[in-house]
Formats: sequence, C-alpha cells, structure tokens
Amino acid sequence: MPILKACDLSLAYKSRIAVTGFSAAIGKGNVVGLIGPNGSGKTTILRAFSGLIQPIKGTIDIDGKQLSSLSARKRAQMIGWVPQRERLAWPLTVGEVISLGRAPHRGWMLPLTKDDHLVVEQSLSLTDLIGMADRKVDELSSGEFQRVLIARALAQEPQLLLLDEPTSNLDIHYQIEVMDLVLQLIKKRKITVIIAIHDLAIAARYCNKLVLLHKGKKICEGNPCDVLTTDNMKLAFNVIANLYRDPYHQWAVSARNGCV
Amino acid sequence: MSIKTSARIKLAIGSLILILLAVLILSLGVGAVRLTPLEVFSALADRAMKNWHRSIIWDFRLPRVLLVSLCGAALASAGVGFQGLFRNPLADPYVVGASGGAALGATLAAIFSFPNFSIPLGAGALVGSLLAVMVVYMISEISNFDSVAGILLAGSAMSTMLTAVVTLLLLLNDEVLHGIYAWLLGSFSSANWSQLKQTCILAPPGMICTWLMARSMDALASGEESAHALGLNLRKARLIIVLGSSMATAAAVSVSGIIGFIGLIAPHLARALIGANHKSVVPVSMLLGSLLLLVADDLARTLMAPIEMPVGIFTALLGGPLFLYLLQKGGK
Repeated sequence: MPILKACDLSLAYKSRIAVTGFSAAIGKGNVVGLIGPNGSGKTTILRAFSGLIQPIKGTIDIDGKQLSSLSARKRAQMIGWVPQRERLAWPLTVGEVISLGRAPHRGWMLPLTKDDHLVVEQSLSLTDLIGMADRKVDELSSGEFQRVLIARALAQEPQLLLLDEPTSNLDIHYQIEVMDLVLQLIKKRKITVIIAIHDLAIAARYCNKLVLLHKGKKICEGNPCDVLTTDNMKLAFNVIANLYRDPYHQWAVSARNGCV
Repeated sequence: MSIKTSARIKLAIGSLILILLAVLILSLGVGAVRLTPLEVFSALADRAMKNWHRSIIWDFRLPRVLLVSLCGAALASAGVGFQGLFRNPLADPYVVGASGGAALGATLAAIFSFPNFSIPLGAGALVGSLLAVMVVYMISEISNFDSVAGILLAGSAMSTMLTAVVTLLLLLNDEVLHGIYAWLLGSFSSANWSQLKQTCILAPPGMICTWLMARSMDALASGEESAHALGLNLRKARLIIVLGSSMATAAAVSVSGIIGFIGLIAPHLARALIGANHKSVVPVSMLLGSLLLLVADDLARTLMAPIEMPVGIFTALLGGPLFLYLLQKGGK
C-alpha cells in the first residue's frame, strides 16, 4: 500500500486555483522531488499533504487513512513538516525547539518522559547537532538552523517527511550537507521523503522519483531520466536541458535558454 | 533541557521565592506606623492578644500585601499569555485592550447592580476583557499591517476608546460611582480580605491555564504553520490562552483598576534571566510580577505619606521607558 495517495486534487488559495486534477501514489521508502517552475504548485501540494490547506476537491490518503479525518495529533505523529524558513518569536534553545517534536506523542501539557528525551537525543545525533542543545537558535547559521528544523520533524518519528525547498536559503556546502543528511535518514529510519525543490541538479541527484508540475498540473512522473527529458524541460521551463552523468556518476543537469 | 539549564532555572526560582518572602515581610512593616521585621513576626504570631500592631497587620497590611502580590503575578502571567498569543514582545494586558475591557466591564457591572441584584465586578471584568481582546485579535489579523504595528494600533485605539467610555459612564453616574474613579487609576488603598477572596476566584485558575499552555506557546513561537504541523489545535490553544490571560487580567483589574506595564516588564526580565522556554517563563514572570508590584505599592504608600499615590504611576514610570526602549529596538 502506498504511504501517500492523492486522488484528483484541486487546491486553491482563497479564490485563486493553484492546482487541478493532481493524482499520485507514493510508495514507502522513496525520495520524491516535486519540481516545476515558480508558481507551478509544488509548495501548494506539499502544504496540502501536511494538512495546512484543505483541498477543494479530491482526497489525500496517508497510509490508507483519509488525511482530513485524522486528528491534528494523529496527523503530526505520521507526518513531519520542515518549512522553507521560520522565524521564532523568542530565541528558544536548540534542545527546546527539537523537544516540540515530541508534542504529538506526549501531548501539550504532560512533561516529557525519559523515552522522549532519548528520541530528542537521537534526533540531535542524526542531524549532527550533539553538544548544541543549549545554543539559542538565533545564534545559529542558516544551515544549522535548517538541521534543527529537520531534527524537530524527526523527533515526531514520522513515516512521511515533507521538506519545503530545504536548500533554497543555503549556500552550496550546506545544500549538499542537508541533502546528504536526508539520504542518510532514509537509510536509517526507512521513512518516505517528499521534497518541493526548484534546483533541478539537486533534484536529479538526490531523488529517485520526480514529479514534474506545470501551471498546477502534473506533466510527468518517474525516474529522473524519464522526467528530465529535453521535451519536458522545454515545455515546463522553456529551456534546452540535458541530463547527464557527471564524472562521479551522479545525475547532473545543464540548461540554456533559446533555440538549438 | 540540559542539567546546566535546569539547575539555573531552579536557582532562579528558589532565589526569587526567598526575595519575595523577604520583601513581603518588609512590606508588612512599611507605612504610617513603621514596624521592624521582628515586630511584624510577633504581630503575625499574636492571633489572640489585642495588640494594636496585630490589627494593623491582620486587618490592613496582610490582606493588602497578599492582594498586591497576587495581582502582580496575575498581570505578569496575563502578559506572558498575550505575548505568546500575539507572538509579540510588546503585548501586555493594557496594550491589547484587555485591561480597558475589564475596566469597562467592571464599571458596567457596578452601574447595573442594585441592592437586591448585584453583578460581581469580576464577572463584568472578565466578559469585557474577553470581548476587547477578541476584537483586537481579529482586527490585527485582518489588517494589512505587519503584526507589531497591527496589534499596537488596534490595541491602543481600543484602550483609548474603552477608557473614554468608562470616563463618560463615571461622569454620568457621579453619585453611584464615587469610589470608582480612584479605583480606575490603579490603587490598592481599599484592599481587604474580601477583595482578596474575590481575586482568588479568577486569578489562580487564569494563571494555571497560562502555565498549562506553556508548551503550546513554545510551538506558537515558531509560527502558525509549524505549530499546526506539530499537531497543535490552533483554535483551541488560542482560546484557552485568551481565556486564561483574560481571567488573570479581570481578577487584577476588578480589585485594583488599570495597572500598566507589569505584564510587559515581568516576562522580559524573566526571559533575560532564564531563557525563552515558557515552562519556566510563566512561573518566573509571576514571581517577578509580584515582586515588582509589591515594591511599586510600597513606594506609592510611603513616598508622600500620609498621602497615598496610585500605584499605577510607579509601574508606568518603571515600564514606560522599557516599552520605548523595546519599540526602538524594532520590537525584538
């Protein structure tokens, strides 16, 4: 059974329709990239998957259960969400932010148990933040803070992790660091990851499945080599693009504007 | 939380409790008749004898000092609640309109009370404060200002309007409400045991409510979307926070009138002392609120003795500059 199944989704902000007729079935253990030009609906779909916006048409099933029928708490036990950016009103410490990920399991009023602290410790070590638990988040670099947000989502022990443009605020070193981390997590925790991402090179390199969107509709889905074809790139991005293996045998994309 | 942080928080709470106790004892000795701590203790212990110190302490100063500390704690916890709700360090019961709403509610309750049918002031204050906060919240949500400007504008407009209505009502009902004007300026000069009992109905539940919402307020600090993704039921959480903070505000306002700035300063000092985690910010703020209001009240009744000044003057003199400082720092 797929971990996430979307059926004929239509999504809108207020009255503006952003996505129509989107269907997808995502199997467990995949790293799925939602790609497409700005305004194609990547982030909107991700927000619908996280329950932030309600579809005006269609259904989303998570592990066989309808998303809209889940309680907020049950949903947060199954789905972790990492926002593109976040500004805290007060500088909590790294440990305090990550502990919030235990709320779906422990509730909002009961104190955390030993087990909870253990999970927080594990999240700290998975994201390479050990020793930083007492640092205030406003003292962190953007790469470190992104890792804190991922660690908080991991502390939720979700089956499905949603990342909204996790690399867009980071320089290339941290981009690679964060994406390597995501791959590691999938190996260690066997969770499914869906990433909204505009960087095609990163998408091709790290995702084993891509979903290409254009003007709120799905054009194509499949392996990077099936999706990132010259015709599809021309249609979605209006560029001449080539997918190739780089010297390290990883997928890479080159693109240019204009006619051949 | 690491061992180091939690030790620091325990130390802060422990020393604040000790300081508060010391200030309580000193406050009992302060006034027209000065008593040393030793005399205070003997008067406190002396329940049977008809010592005149005993009457000063048990009939006047003890209820007053306890009422002041309870109101200080209540205002501080309301400040934490409103700041957490609005995600804004400049929010406090006065700025968001809760105090003004409570004052109007209590005034209306006093006007529409008759000898055989009286509305409790606290109930009127609670309804007034809830309504005012909800209106301010809705306006700041739908306005196009960024959140800091939206709340400050909506809140100060609301406060000014409500205070104007209260003044008008007082002028129109001169003979009924003679005593209310002094009350409105913020004063504990008429404190007694029955006021203390009245405050105990709303203040402790309000403060407990706020403390129980500590983790929710930590999540709200990350923003609506992240709080939602962490499984927080936003609507329910906000409602409980508004309710708790409004109860605490109403409890304080209905006995002491409008006292500004305690709800603003206490949470800031608390965060500077022990960090931003609401689980500790709430109790530490309450202790600091008690302390600050006790000191302000001591000043109010001694500086120009035998004339007693409204305590609100001292909290405003303390808090006003801090407010301006925070505003110029860009609301951070």
